[in-house]
Amino acid sequence: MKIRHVKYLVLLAIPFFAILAGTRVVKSQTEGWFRTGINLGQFTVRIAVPDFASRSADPRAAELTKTFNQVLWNDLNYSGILDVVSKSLYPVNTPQEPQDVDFNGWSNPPASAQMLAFGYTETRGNSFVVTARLFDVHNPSNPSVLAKRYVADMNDLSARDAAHRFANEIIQTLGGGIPGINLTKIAFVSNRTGHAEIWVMDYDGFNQHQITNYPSLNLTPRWSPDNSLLAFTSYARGNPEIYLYSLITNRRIPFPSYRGLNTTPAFSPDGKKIAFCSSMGGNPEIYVSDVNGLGLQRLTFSPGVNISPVWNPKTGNEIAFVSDRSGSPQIYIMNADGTNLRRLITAGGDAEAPSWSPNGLFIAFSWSVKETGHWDIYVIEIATGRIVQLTYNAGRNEHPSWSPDGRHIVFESTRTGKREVWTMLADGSNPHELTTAGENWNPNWSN
Amino acid sequence: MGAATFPIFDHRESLRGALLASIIFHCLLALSALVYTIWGGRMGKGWGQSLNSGSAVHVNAVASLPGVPLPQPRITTPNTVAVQNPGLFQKQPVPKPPPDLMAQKIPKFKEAVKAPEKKMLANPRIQKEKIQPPPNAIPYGEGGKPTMSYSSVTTSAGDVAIGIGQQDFGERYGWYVQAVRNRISSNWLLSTISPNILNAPRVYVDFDINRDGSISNARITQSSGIPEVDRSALRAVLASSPLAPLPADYSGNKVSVEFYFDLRR
Repeated sequence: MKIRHVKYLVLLAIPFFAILAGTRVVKSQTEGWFRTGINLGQFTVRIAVPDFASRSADPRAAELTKTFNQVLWNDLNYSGILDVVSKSLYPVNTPQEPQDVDFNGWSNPPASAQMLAFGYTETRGNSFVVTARLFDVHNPSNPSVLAKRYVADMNDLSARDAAHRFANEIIQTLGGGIPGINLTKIAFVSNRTGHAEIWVMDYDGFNQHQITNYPSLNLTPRWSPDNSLLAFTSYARGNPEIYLYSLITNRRIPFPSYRGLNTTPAFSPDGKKIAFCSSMGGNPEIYVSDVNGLGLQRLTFSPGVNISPVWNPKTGNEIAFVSDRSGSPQIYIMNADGTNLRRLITAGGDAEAPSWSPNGLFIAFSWSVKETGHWDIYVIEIATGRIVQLTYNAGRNEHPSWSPDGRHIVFESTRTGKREVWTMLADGSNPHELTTAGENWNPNWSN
Repeated sequence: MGAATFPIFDHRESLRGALLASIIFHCLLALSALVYTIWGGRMGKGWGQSLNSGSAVHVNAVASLPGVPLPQPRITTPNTVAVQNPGLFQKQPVPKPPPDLMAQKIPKFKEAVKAPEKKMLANPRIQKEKIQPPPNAIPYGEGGKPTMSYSSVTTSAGDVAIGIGQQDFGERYGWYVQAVRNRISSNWLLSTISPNILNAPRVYVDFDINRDGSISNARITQSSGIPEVDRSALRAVLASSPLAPLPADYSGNKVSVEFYFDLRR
C-alpha cells in the first residue's frame, strides 16, 4: 500500500522535474549563444561610376558632360543605399559600349564593384543625348540591368535633369522600388532680398528661385501632396494669414482670412484638407478645413498655444502638433478628429517642429534638452519611444523635414554662424550645406 | 421406572401471567405518556422550557455562584517563546522490526499483469524482405540546401532569405533578388516583436511580385508558432509593396517568391 503511494508520487514528480530540467536547458542555450553577421542593419551595393565620355567635338557638350558626370556621382553618392567606388580604384579602360566592359577588372579587387554605370554623351542636332547603361558585373552572361537614352537640351539645367533621372532609375532599381528623390524640390524661407520670402530649390541646392514677392514676412512653406500648391504664412496684409500659391499657374489661390494669428498650414496626405493654427477664437488652436476653406473645424481645446500640425502621411488618420499646455512646448499626437490625445515625448525640455516620416513610423523634431539647452534634431520611433539624436555639437539645428524616400532630412542650422538650410542622411551622417546667400530657414521637402 | 426424572426440568412454568402483567404495564406506560403529552402541556410548561417568561433558557453560570473561588484567568504573553526542549511527553521511537529475510519480493507491475499480445496485422513475409532505398534517395539530414536557390543575408534580427520560384530567375537577375531581399529585410521591424522572444522557428512567407513591382498573394506557408513573429514577417513583406518593377527583359507576368525569416537576437 505504502509502496504504491510512493510510486504514484514519483510518477507525479517526473514531469515536474522534466519541466525544471527543460527550462534549465533552454536558458543555457540562450546564454551560450552569440550574435554574428555581416552588414548588420544596413545594406549597400558597391557601384562604380566611371565618367561618361563625350563623343562630340562641341565644347558646350564637353561642359555639359562634365556637369552630367558630377551630378550623377553626387546623386548616387548621396542616395544612402549605394557605396560608390572611388575613381582611383577603377581599371584603366573606361567602357562606353557593352562589348568594352572588362567584367573581371570591375568585379575583382581593387574596384570590387557589383554594379557598373557607364555610357557616353553626344550631340544630335540641337540636343544633348546621353546613352546610359547599368551592368551587373558579377553576371557576365546576362549583365544588362538598365539601358536608357536621355535627350536633353543644350543647357545646364537640362543636363542636370538627365543625370537626376538616370540616378533615380538606378536608385529605384537597386533600392528595392523606392523612387529616388533626385527630382524633388525643397521650399524654404530666405531673406536674401531684404524680406523673408518663399524660395524653392532642387534637392541638391541648385536652381534656387524666388516664389513670392510680397515685401513683407512670409514663413512656414508646406508642399501639397501633389507638389502643385505651396501653403505658407504671409504678413502681406498686416495680419498673419494662410496663403495658397499654385506652382502651375504661379498665382495665389483664395483661402479665407481669419482674424488673429493664422500660421503653420499642413496638407493632409490626400490633399483635400489643411490643418493650421489659428487664434480666431482668442487662443492659438489647431483647426482643420477643406482646401477651399469650407468645413472649418476646431480640433484642440486647451489653454496655451497649439501650433505646427503635421499629418501622418501614411494613414492620414493622425495629427502631431506642438502644445505648451504642460508649461513648455511639447509634441502631442491626436487622431485627425481631435480625439485620443497623447503626449509623444515624456522627457522635459522644449520639443518643436515635428515632421512625420513618409512610412509613418518616425517623427523628426527639434529638441532642446533641459540639461544642455542645445537645439538639435532628433528622431523618435513612435511605437517604441526610442529617440535617436541626429545632430550634435553643431550650432542650433531646427525645423527638420523628411524627404519622400525617408532616407534624408533637410533642416536649418547655425553651425556656420548663419542660419542656413542643410541636408543629411536620416541617420545623421553626411551633412551638406545647400544655401549660402543671406539667411535661409524653415525648409520643407516636396513629395 | 428406572430412569430418574427431574421434575424441575419437566415442569414448565407458565409465562402467561408475567407476560400479561408486562403488557398491561407497558400499555399503562404508553397511556400515561400519551395522557401526559395531551394533558400535561396544558397544566404547565413542557420539558426544557423556561419557567420564566420569554423564550430564552436561563442558565445560571457557575461564575456567578457566590462563595465559590474561581481561579483568575492567566495573563498570557501574546508572543509564544520558542522552546528548545520537545516537551515533557514524548513517545519513544518504535524500534524498527528486524528485516524479514524471507519476505517475498513484490513482483513488478508489468510482470504481474501481462499485456495482451498484439496481433500482427501486416504480412510478416513482406517485413522480412529488406527495403532497398531508391538510388536517388537522400538520407535524412544530409540533403543540404533545397533545390530552390536561397539567397540569405544576416540582419540584426537574424537571417532572412529569399528563393525565387522560377529556377533561372535568381541566376539571371541576381541584382533584383538582392534588392528585394534588402528592401524586405529593412522593413522587418523588431519593435513589433516582444523583446523576450529571442529566437523563433523559421517563418516562410510566399508571395508574388507582379510586373509593376506590386506584391500580391502574400501568405504564411509555414508558421513559427508565435503569432507576433508571423505578423511581423507578413508585415515586412506587405510594407515593401511596391517593389521595383520586374526586369524589363523578363518575359513572365509575375515571379513567385518564397521568403523566410529566422529570428535570432
